[in-house]
Amino acid sequence: MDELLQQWLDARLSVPGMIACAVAGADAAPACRSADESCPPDLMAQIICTMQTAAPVPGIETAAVRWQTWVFANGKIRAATRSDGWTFAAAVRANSDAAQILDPLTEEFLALKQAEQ
Amino acid sequence: MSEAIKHNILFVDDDPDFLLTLRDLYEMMSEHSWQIYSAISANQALEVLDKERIDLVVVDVNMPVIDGIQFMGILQHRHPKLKRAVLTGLATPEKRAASLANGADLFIEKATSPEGYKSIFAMFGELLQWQPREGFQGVLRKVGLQDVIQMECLARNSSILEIYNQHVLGRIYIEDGQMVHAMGGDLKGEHALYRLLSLPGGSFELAQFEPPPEKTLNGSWEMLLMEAARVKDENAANVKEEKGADAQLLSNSAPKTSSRLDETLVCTRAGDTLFDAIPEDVQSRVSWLQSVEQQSAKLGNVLALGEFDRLETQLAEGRVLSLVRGGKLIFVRVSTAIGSK
Repeated sequence: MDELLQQWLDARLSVPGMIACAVAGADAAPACRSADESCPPDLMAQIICTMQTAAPVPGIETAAVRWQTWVFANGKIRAATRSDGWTFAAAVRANSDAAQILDPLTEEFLALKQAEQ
Repeated sequence: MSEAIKHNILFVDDDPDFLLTLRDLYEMMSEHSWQIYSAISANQALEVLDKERIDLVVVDVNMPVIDGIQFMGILQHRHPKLKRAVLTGLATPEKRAASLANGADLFIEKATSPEGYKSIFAMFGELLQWQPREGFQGVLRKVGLQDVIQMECLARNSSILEIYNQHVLGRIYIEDGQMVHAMGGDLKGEHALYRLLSLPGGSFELAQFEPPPEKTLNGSWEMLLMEAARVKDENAANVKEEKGADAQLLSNSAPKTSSRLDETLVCTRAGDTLFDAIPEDVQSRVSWLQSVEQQSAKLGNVLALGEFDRLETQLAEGRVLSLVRGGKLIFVRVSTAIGSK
């Protein structure tokens, strides 16, 4: 896991409403951060793994998918996978600051690697 | 004919003795409030139906030429509003399924005791009193929202129209043929109604009536529909696309987006399709929705995030929504294009 991604992940954990977040490469162990005991790092690792192996949306090319958001009454789970295989996942509380900035946060992740390259 | 007679019942059976016994028994038990007609064949029964106002037809299964199950199918086609029952001496699950599939309201095995015939009498009595649930059953295709509202109001029905698209989940309540309440997004009343009727695309479903949380619509449904059409025309002159709740947050300088509904599918949890406007491979969408629901249950449980609402898949140019609503699974795919203002 490169240092830039680790630093980026650490900085995002402090946003109010963030439960946990993680990044994982296609062949690399996930790096998980947790701000809430309801979702410890090992659980977040399972969640991001589930997101990585989820079935594709029928009729949609995988490359056309920017991100997916599972919306629940009390929170959201966001997952985004880049073309290089890296996946970002975050679990946030509903109506929180973290929920409000999920889109720019995901855009940041998608742009981060592009800037590196 | 006595003034006390309220119901006309036609029994169809190839056994004349059985018909005579039933006639005597049920006229006596009903104190002659039932007028019993008899026919020993399907053809004879159709002649009776052409001449008399029959409330209930009771048919035996094993009859020569046209059996009772075939006859049920004929009745469903020729007399769809007629109440129909099958009374057979040889009840099997296959015959029951076939009878019900051909439109029978009741499937009963012939009794072997007087007590049994009393029970059957009571069941026929219940069936005669039963009022079928009003509203649509089946699949609606290429039928406009306004058409359905008009049909419901003209028929003086009570129902709820549930409307979905990528931005709005709305409801229009129709009570005794009048629109009494509308809600959609943050709007209520006429504003909600006009907005829902102006949507450029989406899906709708006719649900069983429940009393609305409040009544926000007044006036005749004709006037409301006319006003909705006027508002829609007015908006169409200035706005070419529906602006959703998200779009309202955009500043005046932001580029406009136009949306097109590409796919819509509504199915039950068991995978039975209720509505589809899908160009291809409906089954893959049904399977996808079922897997989303299963996955959401696992995710919701491990993180205690509460009830699942939807999975949003953001595309480069559009969105796919996979929703669970009222026990139904919904798949909506929308294309969006950004243009300069």
